[in-house]
Amino acid sequence: MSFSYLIQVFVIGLATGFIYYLTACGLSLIVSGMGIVNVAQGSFFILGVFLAISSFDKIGFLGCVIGVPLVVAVLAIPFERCIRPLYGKNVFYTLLITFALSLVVSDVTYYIWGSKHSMIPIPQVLKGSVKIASVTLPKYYLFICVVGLVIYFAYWLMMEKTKLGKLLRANMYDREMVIALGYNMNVLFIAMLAIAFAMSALGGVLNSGFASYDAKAAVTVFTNVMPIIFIGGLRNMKATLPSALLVGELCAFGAILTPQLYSLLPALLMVIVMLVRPQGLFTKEAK
Amino acid sequence: MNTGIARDRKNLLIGLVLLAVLLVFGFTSGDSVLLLLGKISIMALFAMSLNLQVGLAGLQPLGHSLFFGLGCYSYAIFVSKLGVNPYLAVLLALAVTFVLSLFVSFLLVRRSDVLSFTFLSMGLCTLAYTAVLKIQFVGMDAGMSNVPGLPFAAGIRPTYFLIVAVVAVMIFLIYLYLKSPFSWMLRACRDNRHKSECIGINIPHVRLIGVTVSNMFACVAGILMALRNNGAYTSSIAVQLSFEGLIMCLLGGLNSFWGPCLGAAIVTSFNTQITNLTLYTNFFLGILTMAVVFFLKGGILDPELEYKLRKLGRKLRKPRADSKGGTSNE
Repeated sequence: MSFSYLIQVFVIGLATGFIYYLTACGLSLIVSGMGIVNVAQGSFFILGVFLAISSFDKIGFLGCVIGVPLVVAVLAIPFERCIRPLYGKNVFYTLLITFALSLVVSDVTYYIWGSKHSMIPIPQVLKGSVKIASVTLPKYYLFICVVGLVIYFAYWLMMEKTKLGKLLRANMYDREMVIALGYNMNVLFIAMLAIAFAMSALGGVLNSGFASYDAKAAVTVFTNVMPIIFIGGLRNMKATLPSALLVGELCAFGAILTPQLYSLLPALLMVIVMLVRPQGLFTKEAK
Repeated sequence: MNTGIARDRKNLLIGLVLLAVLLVFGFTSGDSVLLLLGKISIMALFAMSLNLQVGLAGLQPLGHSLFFGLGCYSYAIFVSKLGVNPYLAVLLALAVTFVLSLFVSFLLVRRSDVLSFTFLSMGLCTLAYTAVLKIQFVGMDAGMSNVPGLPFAAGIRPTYFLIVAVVAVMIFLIYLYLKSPFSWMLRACRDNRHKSECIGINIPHVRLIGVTVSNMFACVAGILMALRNNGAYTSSIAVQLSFEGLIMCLLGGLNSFWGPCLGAAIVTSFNTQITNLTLYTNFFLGILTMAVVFFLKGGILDPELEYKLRKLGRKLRKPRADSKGGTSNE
C-alpha cells in the first residue's frame, strides 16, 4: 500500500463525502429550519440521477449539472403545499406524509424509467487522470471535490451575507418574530425546500457519473445520509460538512479494509458517537 | 360518551368475537387463507406493540422493525445454525432481544429530543438491516429458510392456531398493561413533561421501560413470523416495515385499543392483494397514507370521529324520524 495509493483513496473519500454533503446539507437545513424530518429527501437525489440520465443527450453534462437541480427545485412548491396543513402538528404526521411522498415519487420514477441501471458518460475533459507531484488522481473525483467546495462556499455566503440567509437563520431562532415582521413564512419555506432539493439533485447528477442507482432506492439514500446528521449533531448545520467528509473517508478507507462490511461503518460510527457524545461530534455545548 | 368501564367491556367483547372468528376460520378455511390470516394476526400484534410507543408514550420510533427482525433472526439462528432445541430457542431469542433492547432504548431515551429519538431509532434499524444483508452467516439477501418450527405445531394449520393463541394472549397482556398505573406514567410524560417531572417521574427511566416492553411484544411477533414462514427474511427487519407499522397505527387510530389491529388488517391485505394486480403497490400505499393523514388525522376508530359521526347521525335523524342513522364506524 503505497503513499500515492492512500492519497488516491483519500481523494475518492473526499468526493464521496462531498456528495453526501450535498444531500445531508439539505436535510439538515430542513431539520433545523422547519423542525420536520424530510424522509423524501432521497427521492430527489434519485430524481436527479434519472433526470440526468434521460436529459444528458439533449443538454450535455454542464446542462445537467445546472439544469436538473433547477427543475427539481421547482418541486418544492407542490411539496410545500402538501405539508403546509401539518405545520405545528405532531411530527408524526409530517414523517408519514414525507414517507408517503417518497413512496409515490419512487414508484413514479420506477414507472417512467423502469428497473434499468445506467450512468451518464463523463465528458472528455473530465475523463482520465492528472498527475500532481507523482500522485495520479482521477479527474472526475477532483471535479466533484471542486464543485462541492464551490457549493459549500456559495451556501455559506448565502447564509451569512444575503437577506434570504438572514431570514432563514432568524427563522431558526424565532419563527414567530419573523412572521410578526411581515415575512411570508410559506414563501420562506419554499425557498428553503428548493435549496435543499436542488442540492440533493445536484448530488444525484454528480453521483450518476460513477455509480448507478435503483429507481426505488430513495429510502436507502435517506438512511445512508442520516448518520451524517447525527455524527455532526442534529440541528447543527455547520457540522454537516466535517461529518460528511469524515463519513466519506470512513467509507473509502473501510472499503479497502473490509470490502464486505464497509457500508455498515457510518451507522456504526453513529452508534458510537451517540454513546460517547450524544450531542454530536462537532457540536460543542449540550443543550 | 362511553365511560371507561363500558369501553373496556366493549374492547374485551370485540377481542372475544375476533378470536372466535379467527378460530372458526382456522377450522374451515384452506391453507392460503390461513397464511394470510396468520400474517394479519402477527402484524396486528406488531402494530399494537408499536402503538405502545406511538399512542401511549408519544414517541415515534422509525426502527421498530429492528426488534421484530431480531426476534425472527435470533430464533432462526439459534435453531438452524446453532442447533438449539426450538423451545429453548424461543426463550433465548427473547433474552437476546431483551438485552439488546435495553441497550438500544438506553441510547434512544437519553436525549429528550423527539426528532433525535426518531432518527436514531431508524439509524439503528438500518445498521441491523445492512448487517443482515452483508453477513454470510445469516444468509445475506436471501434470508434463512427451512428453519424448523416448534415440534408440536408442524404444518400450516397447527402453526396458525399457535399464532392465534399467542397473539390473543399477548393482546390480553397489552390490555392489562394499558390499564396498569405504569402506563399512566407514560401518558403523563407524553402529555406534559414539566408537570410529570414535578411530580417526581424520572422520564428517561419510565420511557426506557416503556420502550423495552413495547420491543418485547414486537419480538414475540417476530418469533411468530419466523414460525409462520419457516425462516427469517430481510423484509422483516427493513425500515419499510417500521413505516408500515406507523401507517397501520395511524390508519386504525392511535387512541383506540383495536385501532392498530384494524390498520394492520387493512395494510397487510392491501400489500398482499394489491401485489396481484399491479407492480406499483407502494404508490397506492403512499396515496392511502396521504389520504389518511389529510382527512382522518385520528384514524378510523378515533373516538372523536365516532363522536362526530354520532352527532351527524342525530342531526340527520331529527328531520326524518324513520331514517336509520348509519353511525357505526366499525
